[in-house]
Amino acid sequence: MGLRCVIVDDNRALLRSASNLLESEGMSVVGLATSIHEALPLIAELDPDVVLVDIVLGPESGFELARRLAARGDSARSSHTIMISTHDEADFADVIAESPAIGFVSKSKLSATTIAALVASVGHRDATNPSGR
Amino acid sequence: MTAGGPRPEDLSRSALVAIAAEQAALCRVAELTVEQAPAEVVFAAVAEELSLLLGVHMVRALRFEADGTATVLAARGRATDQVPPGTNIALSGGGVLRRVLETGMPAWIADVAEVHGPIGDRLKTERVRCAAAGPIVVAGRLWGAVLVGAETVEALPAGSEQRLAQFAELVSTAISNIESRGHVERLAAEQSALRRVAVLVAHQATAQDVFAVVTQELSRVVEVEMVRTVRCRPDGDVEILAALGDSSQQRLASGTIATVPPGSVLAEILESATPARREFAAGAPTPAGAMAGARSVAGGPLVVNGRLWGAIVVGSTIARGLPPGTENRVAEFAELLSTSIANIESRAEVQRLVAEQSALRRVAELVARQASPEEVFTLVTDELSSLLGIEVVRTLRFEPDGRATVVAARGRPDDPMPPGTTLEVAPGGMLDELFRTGRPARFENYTQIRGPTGAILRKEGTNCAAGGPIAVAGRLWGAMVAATSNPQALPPGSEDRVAEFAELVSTAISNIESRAELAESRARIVRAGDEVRRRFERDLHDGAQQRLVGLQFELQTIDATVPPQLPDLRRALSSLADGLNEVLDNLRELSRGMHPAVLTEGGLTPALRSLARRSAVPVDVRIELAGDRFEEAVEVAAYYVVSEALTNTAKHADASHIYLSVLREPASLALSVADDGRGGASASSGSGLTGLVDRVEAIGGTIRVNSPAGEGTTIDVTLPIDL
Repeated sequence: MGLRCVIVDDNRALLRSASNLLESEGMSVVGLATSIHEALPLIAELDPDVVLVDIVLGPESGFELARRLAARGDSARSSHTIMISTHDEADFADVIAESPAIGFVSKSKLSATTIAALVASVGHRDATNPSGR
Repeated sequence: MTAGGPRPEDLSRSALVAIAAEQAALCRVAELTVEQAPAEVVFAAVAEELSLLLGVHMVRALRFEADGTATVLAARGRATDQVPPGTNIALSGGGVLRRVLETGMPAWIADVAEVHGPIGDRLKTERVRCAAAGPIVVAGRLWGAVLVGAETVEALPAGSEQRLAQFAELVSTAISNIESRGHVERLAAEQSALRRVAVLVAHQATAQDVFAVVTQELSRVVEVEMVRTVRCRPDGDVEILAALGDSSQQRLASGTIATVPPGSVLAEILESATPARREFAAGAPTPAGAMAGARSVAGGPLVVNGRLWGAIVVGSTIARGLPPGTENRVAEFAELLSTSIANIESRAEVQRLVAEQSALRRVAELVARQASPEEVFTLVTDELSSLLGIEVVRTLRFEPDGRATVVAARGRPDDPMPPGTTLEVAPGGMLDELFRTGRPARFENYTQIRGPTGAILRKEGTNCAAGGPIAVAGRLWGAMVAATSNPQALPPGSEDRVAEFAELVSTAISNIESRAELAESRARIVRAGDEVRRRFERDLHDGAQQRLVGLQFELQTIDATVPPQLPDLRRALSSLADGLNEVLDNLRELSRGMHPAVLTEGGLTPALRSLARRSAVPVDVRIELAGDRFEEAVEVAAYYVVSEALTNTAKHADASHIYLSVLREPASLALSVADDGRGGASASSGSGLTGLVDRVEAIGGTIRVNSPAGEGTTIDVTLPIDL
């Protein structure tokens, strides 16, 4: 069974095609949200392994959602947040580094394998650094 | 002319001898006249010859005075009863002199016993019984008379007056000569006096000096005791510019303002703008305020540049009054003085214009340097103050509620209305008038002004104020006001000079306002451009980019389901995916150039760091903004400055290192981009730097490019931030 995943993007068409892609690659997309307001209760309820968050959520910021998710602390096991965007990773490198997200995946490079690798690298880091997020 | 003389053939030998003696006597007098002997010598000779010829013991030559008296000019008689020259005598009714004066004809009287009054008494003491007189006519006018007296009628028979007339005629000629000679001398004296005045004017003497000298010279040339030079005031009064020998009680210091005495000669001159004269009988009162005690007053107008400017009036207290034509001579002097005044005024005008032009230039330079309104107000206020020599000068702005705010002031040490003070416009005062009419105004006498402002002005000592309107874009914006305790320091007309300065301020404010408007509109255009680009970037992101990414996902999904036995289809799909990727890469570049999304999401620090990371030349970054966010226009400008500077360096500078520093200062962002390249960059060379200058200045920032050849390029930029 692949990773359980929630995708947050303000573009519904994109949500569907991304979901289809990741499902076809073996991931389990358990929820879709288009805004912070929708995403927060959904993630709290589903408690996925990973949340993919678009950096630009219409008028909202994906980083804001990442911060709010990290600040929840109501779950024994926090979901990993991965930022996604059509923009270059280099453009947002500093913002990503300062955010609670574990990493960034360009939408052009989106695949179940990339996500799994990112999560695995954090899990490895978690093992060596128990205090890490 | 020997009208009425006996014909020679009728005369006896003794008569012929007498005629010969008479002709010889006339001849001698005539010779004297031709020799241009002084008048007294001629008079004395006439008296001598007449006394011998007629055998009379009393001879007198007299001049008739304007008041009906006569002055003795020469006399011959017994040593005991001589009447000295200069004696003024009243003419008795019935006397020969009175008859000559009345008829202009020779007169004879057989018995002076008929003559009453002091003259009669005097004649009796002189033992004169019979008298005759002949008229002295000069230039067609009865000038005086020759008078002879004898003890008996036999010594002076009837008809003697005709013989007398011949002598009187010679005297007339002599006097005419002397008068015209005197006229020439007077002209010469006048000319030299005028020359002295002209020299004074040429040496740029002050108007006061010139008036004083003209007054002195005039009194010398015209021989009068009293001279007044006055200037007309707009209110109908006159200002005394110079006064000499005035016996009236009132002190007529220069600068005294006086009303024109109604019915006076001065009034007549000012009304008609022509010369005038008048005689006053002895003891007759002169109009109040006119020259007291004057027997004869004459004067002429001062007309400067075609306008009645003032007048000169002279007065004499001596009984015979001023010589005929004095008013015309005064008028000649007045004409010269008018020319001098015109010179002085035009010189003063030139000096004033020069001073004003300098002031204008200084203000214009200040405005050109884009000085703040406060600086411009202060300078204009100071300039006006020193130009007018006025202590208190204020620049006021009218408020919508009808009050006025002092925006700049130069006042006394304890200024009750410093800048920032908002005051009520005192009803009826200068500012009130200016506000109502929109025109320059002047006001005296603040004792009548009510209200709090009036009280402050009185406490300040303001007695007189002049103001000019400041109009900006056809609207009354405010006023410049000069105030003083001494109304003479702000003479009527000062308001026009203040107004000229107010106009400068108007221009300065208009410039400043239009500059502010220009800057505002530039900033607006830049903001609007930024907004359009940001929206476009967003549309691109939300629309085409997302759609293409979606297609990419679908393609990948399909790709995963293609069976391995269809390699051609896989290749076709792979090629499609590459194409899509290429388009997405291009769009990403395009959208970043349009508006960097990171700026919106993360602010300046990550945006600038990402720029630095992408730079082809390594960048040392020092950004100390503590994650602060700024107005979008500021962030965008900072981003483009750095972006353009990095691009320029990579393209042209041949540098190995770039140093980027962004610091937050109290009211601005300070950016510095320096490289170690070849230098020689210029904002005017049409490079990307020109665009930077526009962008930075559009939001009120400054940019300085220092790029000496061989020493690298440093671009320093400050961007104002709203706190």
